[in-house]
Amino acid sequence: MENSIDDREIQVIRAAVAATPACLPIEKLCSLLHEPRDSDPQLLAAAHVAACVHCSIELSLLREFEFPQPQAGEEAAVDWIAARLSRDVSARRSCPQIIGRDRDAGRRAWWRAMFTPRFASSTAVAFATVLLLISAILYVRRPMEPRLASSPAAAEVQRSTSIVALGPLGELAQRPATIQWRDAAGASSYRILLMEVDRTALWRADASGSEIAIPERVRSRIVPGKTLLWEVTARSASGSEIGSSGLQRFVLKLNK
Amino acid sequence: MGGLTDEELIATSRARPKSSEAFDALDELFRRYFSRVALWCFRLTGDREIAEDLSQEVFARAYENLDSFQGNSRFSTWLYAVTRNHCTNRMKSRAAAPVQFGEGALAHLADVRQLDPQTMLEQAEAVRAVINDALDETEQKVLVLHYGHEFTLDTITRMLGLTNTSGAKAFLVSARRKLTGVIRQHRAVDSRRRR
Ligand SMILES: [Zn+2]
Repeated sequence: MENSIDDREIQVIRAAVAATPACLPIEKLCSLLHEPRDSDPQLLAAAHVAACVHCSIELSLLREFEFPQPQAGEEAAVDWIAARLSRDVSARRSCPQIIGRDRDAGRRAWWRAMFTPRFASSTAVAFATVLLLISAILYVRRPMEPRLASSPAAAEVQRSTSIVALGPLGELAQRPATIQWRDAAGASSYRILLMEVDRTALWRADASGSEIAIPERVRSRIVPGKTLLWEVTARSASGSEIGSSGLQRFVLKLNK
Repeated sequence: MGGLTDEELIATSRARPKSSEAFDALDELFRRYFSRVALWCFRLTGDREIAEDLSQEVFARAYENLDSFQGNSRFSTWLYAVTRNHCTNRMKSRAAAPVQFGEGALAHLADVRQLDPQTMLEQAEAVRAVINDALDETEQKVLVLHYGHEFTLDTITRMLGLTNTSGAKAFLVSARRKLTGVIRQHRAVDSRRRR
């Protein structure tokens, strides 16, 4: 049964390869990659990477992205994809009808956001009207989360830019599995930020509902006795920030 | 525009938001990264059509979140983080998470039956030492990419350019063989201590 591995062993291995509080944020890895290693902070960071499997692999992944070396079989696929991306950009600038063939909201958002104003500014009002119509159709077709009815209370949430935080809050006996808040009127999406007390970001995520699961790799960084902060901000369909939970805190109880 | 740095292009786009100049700047900026994002997405998926979709989504996401780029790192690093997060989330939602040779069900149970945090910390520390001392570089990479980043073994095989017959799986098996011995030893000591 050499290959068999039980759930607890997997848990332990996951914890062993997860980032520790000493691990470097991406900004530090970036400066290790691009700046000379001739100052104390740089040397300290380099020493950490040399001794830390997690960070050394983070650094090698970043290096792979920043200084890519496609293998023989990859070059053709990469060229094909890059050509398609370029072609899409050009096509969208000259032929807005292509939008109807787009497959997801992300593409439409990119198209709309990047190219609509340019197109509108360089053509006649008639085209602007067509674009408005297309935008309206897309907006209506966009899947929407159920919203709170427009009640005085809901309006209050928006006016006071306050989102009710539901948890995790205070002292906890167990690692939280989710972050929850109350849905805010007018919110189209939420951004969640989990931080250490010095505001170093541990995790950022976006959600469309009023709850988000904390990924295992982040949960493993919630350790007993260490206070963490979180904040949820709400965004409208146009992407502007319309509300915030303010900073919330929680801490996992120390083991007796 | 071609002579400007990434950061200068962003500054240009922010100086006159939504202007034609701003869109030119962003267009140039994103074009510089088409190949890099494409390669990342292709390695992750092994399928150029899916990788093209993913790349599109990455740039949409980058555009939507560009305001959050504060210049604390290079733009390329920021885009890397966007690419990675987006691809990881999408791969998870496609249920392509690392469910390999029968451990999937157990991995889900792991969330339910937690070890107590202190035991976990001690065992993880011991395992970390073995990872550093006893695993070779490829075993370390495969282990971290699989359990730390939740990449599938196929993805890891592509990422590391492994050419052996069973790819990353062979390295994962040998790494785990080295680690489970230590974990079981630790567990035996721990249960004796509790008695
Ligand atoms: Zn580290």
